[in-house]
Amino acid sequence: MNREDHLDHLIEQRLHGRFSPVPENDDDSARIGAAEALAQLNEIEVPPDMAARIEARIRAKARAHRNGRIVMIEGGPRPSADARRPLYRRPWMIALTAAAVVVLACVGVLRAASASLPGDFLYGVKQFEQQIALTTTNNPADRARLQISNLQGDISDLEAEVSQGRSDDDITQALSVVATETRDSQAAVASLPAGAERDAIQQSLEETLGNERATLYQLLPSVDWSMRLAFTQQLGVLGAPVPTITQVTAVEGSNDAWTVRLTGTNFASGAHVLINGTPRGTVRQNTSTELVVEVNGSDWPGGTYTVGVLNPDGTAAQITQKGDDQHGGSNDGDDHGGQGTPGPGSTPGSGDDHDGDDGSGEPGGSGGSSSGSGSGDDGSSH
Amino acid sequence: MIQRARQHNEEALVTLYQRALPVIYRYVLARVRRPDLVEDVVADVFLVMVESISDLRADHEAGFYAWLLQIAQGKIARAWWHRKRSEAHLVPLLSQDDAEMDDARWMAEPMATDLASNPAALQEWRETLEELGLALGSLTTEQQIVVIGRFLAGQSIEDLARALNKQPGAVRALQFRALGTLAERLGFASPARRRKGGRI
Repeated sequence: MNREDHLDHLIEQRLHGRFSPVPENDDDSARIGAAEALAQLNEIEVPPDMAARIEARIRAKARAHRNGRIVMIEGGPRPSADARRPLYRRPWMIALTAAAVVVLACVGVLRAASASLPGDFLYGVKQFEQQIALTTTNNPADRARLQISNLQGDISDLEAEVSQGRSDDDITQALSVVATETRDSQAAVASLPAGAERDAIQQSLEETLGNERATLYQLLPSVDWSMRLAFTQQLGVLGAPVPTITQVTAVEGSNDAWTVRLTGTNFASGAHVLINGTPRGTVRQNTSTELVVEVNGSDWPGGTYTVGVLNPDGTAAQITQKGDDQHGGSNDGDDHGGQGTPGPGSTPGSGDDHDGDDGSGEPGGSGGSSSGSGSGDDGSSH
Repeated sequence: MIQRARQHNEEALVTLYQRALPVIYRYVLARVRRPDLVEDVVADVFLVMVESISDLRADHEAGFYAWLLQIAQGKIARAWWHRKRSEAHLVPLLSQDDAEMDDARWMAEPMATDLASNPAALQEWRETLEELGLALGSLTTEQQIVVIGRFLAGQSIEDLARALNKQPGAVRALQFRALGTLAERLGFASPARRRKGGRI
């Protein structure tokens, strides 16, 4: 028996829990030690929530793939009569060859466009192509399915934008496309007549929205502050319990310290306060609607500044304060850059059961006061 | 199962995912060592699986694992590249202490529960994981497929031989060399330096 076979024999004995002779030499002993160390990895458990999130994405992807096939079959070009004509006549050969070159070029462009992302040169072609597919789909149920399929693709595009480290402008465009497609998908499903078909499509939509929500949460750590605010806003649209700031008051105390009181919603335990985008101060009190933080005078900005909240789950809110407001005054609504939690009316069927949050149950009050003036653009406006 | 998955049957794809997840997760965690990145990488691997399952030629589990591991290797390389790139651009939002606490929490999450209450054991485990990840990264693609398939997925030499289209003897030789490299990298070169290991 050669050394390789002998080692494998020893490993087999141990793998099957049988008596294993002591290795005859140090090298085999070291190799078995390495195998044992490697086998320690089997002690690691897969986090169940992570497994569930990935499974939801796999299901969504599998369905998108299947739907994409159906669309291609239903909307695919049919062979024309000309295409069936014989090719032996030379002038026709030339004409068809030229046409084939044009078609191939178009196919190449369309293929390239299908892989493009927001901000790419060919992305407009991709959107146009999607619009044509929607326009040519007459059946409302098929249209809703296609809309959901488009949303799944847009979520993947957003993910790719972030993972490729694209610019904030490109990511903003991708997020805007996702937000629009989310609204359109919800509207398309809502317009369907009640029945089993609608229920099935509604379920598919809810899974896709769950995927959108999971993706946004997952991408939060990879984006900068302004994008974090924009992502949080979309999470609010989906009914996630995101923070909002409605009022900030600041009082100068003794020993050159400021006590800043933030009022709002969904402040999580362990939230950080950021002034002008930088973590500042020590949190003295933290409830879901109020944060009190003590800030050193040296860290206190003058003039116009922003106050932000960063929850441990990565969601964030921000409000802009004018220098005049800092002595205990409340904010001017027009200056708010905060992330509102939009009312439930804007998210039919999306915020009902994902984690039992109460964010979607708010009657739109915080959204109206905090983000009403800056819906969609608050984050990037600061 | 693989044949049904090739036709993008949702349940078949999810079944394959559920079977392969522990192996891929453990492998990726060892190589990347950051659970916040691990989820991205693992998800990417399985999304590629859905996208490209029709390209899979093998119709047996070992071949499927070998294929997934190759995808995972590419995704891990990309994740490291993106991480380095983004770390150069992103301004940290949390203080160093906060970041270290978060890091500790991330690292603690996937560990066995008895380790969570034992800081010394947890630290030792983290070091072992890091060393294992680095050592695995030093193996060739085929060697990684053999040792992961053998010790994480529980495959036989014959299964692996089919997956790699090799003779069993050649797979045993790959295993021999791979374990030799791992032993060297892990500091098991002599029995005196051998550490406490798990059971195989």
